[in-house]
Amino acid sequence: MLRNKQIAIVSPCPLFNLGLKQILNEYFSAPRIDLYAEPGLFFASSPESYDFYFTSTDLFFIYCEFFLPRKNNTILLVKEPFKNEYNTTEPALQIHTYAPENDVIEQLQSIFGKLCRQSENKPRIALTAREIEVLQLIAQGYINKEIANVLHISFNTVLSHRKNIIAKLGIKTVSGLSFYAMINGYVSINTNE
Amino acid sequence: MGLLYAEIPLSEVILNEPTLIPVINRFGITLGTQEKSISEICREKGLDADFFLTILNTFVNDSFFPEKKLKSFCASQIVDYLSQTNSYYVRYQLPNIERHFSLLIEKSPLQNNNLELIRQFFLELKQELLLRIENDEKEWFPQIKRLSENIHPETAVTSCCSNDTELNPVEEKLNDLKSLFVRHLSGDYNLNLCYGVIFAIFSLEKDIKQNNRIRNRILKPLYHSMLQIQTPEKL
Repeated sequence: MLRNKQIAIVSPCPLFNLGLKQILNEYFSAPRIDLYAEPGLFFASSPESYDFYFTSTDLFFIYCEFFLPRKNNTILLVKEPFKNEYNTTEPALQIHTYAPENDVIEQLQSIFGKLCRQSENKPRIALTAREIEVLQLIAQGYINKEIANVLHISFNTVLSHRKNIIAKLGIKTVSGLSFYAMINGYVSINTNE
Repeated sequence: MGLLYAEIPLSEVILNEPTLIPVINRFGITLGTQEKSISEICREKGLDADFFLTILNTFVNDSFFPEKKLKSFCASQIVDYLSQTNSYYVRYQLPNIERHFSLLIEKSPLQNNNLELIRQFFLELKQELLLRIENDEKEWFPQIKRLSENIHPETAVTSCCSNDTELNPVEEKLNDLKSLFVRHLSGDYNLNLCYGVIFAIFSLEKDIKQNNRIRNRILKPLYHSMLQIQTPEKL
């Protein structure tokens, strides 16, 4: 259910964090779950790299500068149903930590179902024309700087295209991308010889 | 599977987790273990039961990695285990995948040259792995053994950070190989033979991931530590 999703649990109780991680692993097959009992460590890592966040309401408010823009991907750990103080039309995503295990699992199912549907509502699009151009140049052995020059785009734009290509194809290595390009006829088989 | 302990019959472990069969083979243990416990078998074979159990547990449980415990073992024990693992890849696992692949291509329609391209990618990956193994066996492992002969294990305290997330080209290529098969394969092919190839690839990937955890988080820091002890003027 949570394929390719990365989760951060930012909450001060290590044992609680482990328990939540255990449930997420067992029932939702999340590939990566990182635990942070200390917010400092969380913010020292790459906090923006996660897809979902679990945190307490206290930490949410203390670090609202980070969490508020990400409230749609942040799940609050609450003892009782939390009143949405921001008066948005959508209720805050929350898990009731004192609920029985089955209820917690159902709450998580409901939340992830909604969140995953939102992200998958974006149409599954194939590579764009520009991405194909970048892929072709990668397959021909060009490095990022050279690709930027050939296509008259910035270095950062090349990086962005590469990131999108990797995310769409699930292939990371230059060699893998080259073979993908050959398989799909974007470059001829002789290109790589 | 839960953590294993010394008094459990090894047969029970294998029945629950058959992927451990190649791992126990690396310690010279073959099937037909009857009802003997892990500790009994280790006694018979003259193996360090603690080390054996730790290796099995790290293999079976992805999220279990007793770093302190592994670092307490002698470097040459770890090298011997990794050397056996390398030998297993060279003698069995890689040829197994190649055999399955050749059969798959042979039995699939000629028009599907995607399979041949994917096989080329696998051969590239195989070459990379073989180079790494050659370096291990000819350079790195002998050097570690030489260093560990001169240094008391307890003085080689690994203070430097171990990095489990460092990029690993072989793992990345294996991941890409899986993607090429599972996400991007097209055309006609023999389904059953294809499953055989994919299963063998997944099996290699799991093994290499465990192997890399031990290499990167235990052996490399231990090696650097011993190197620092041997050459203090470089500090």
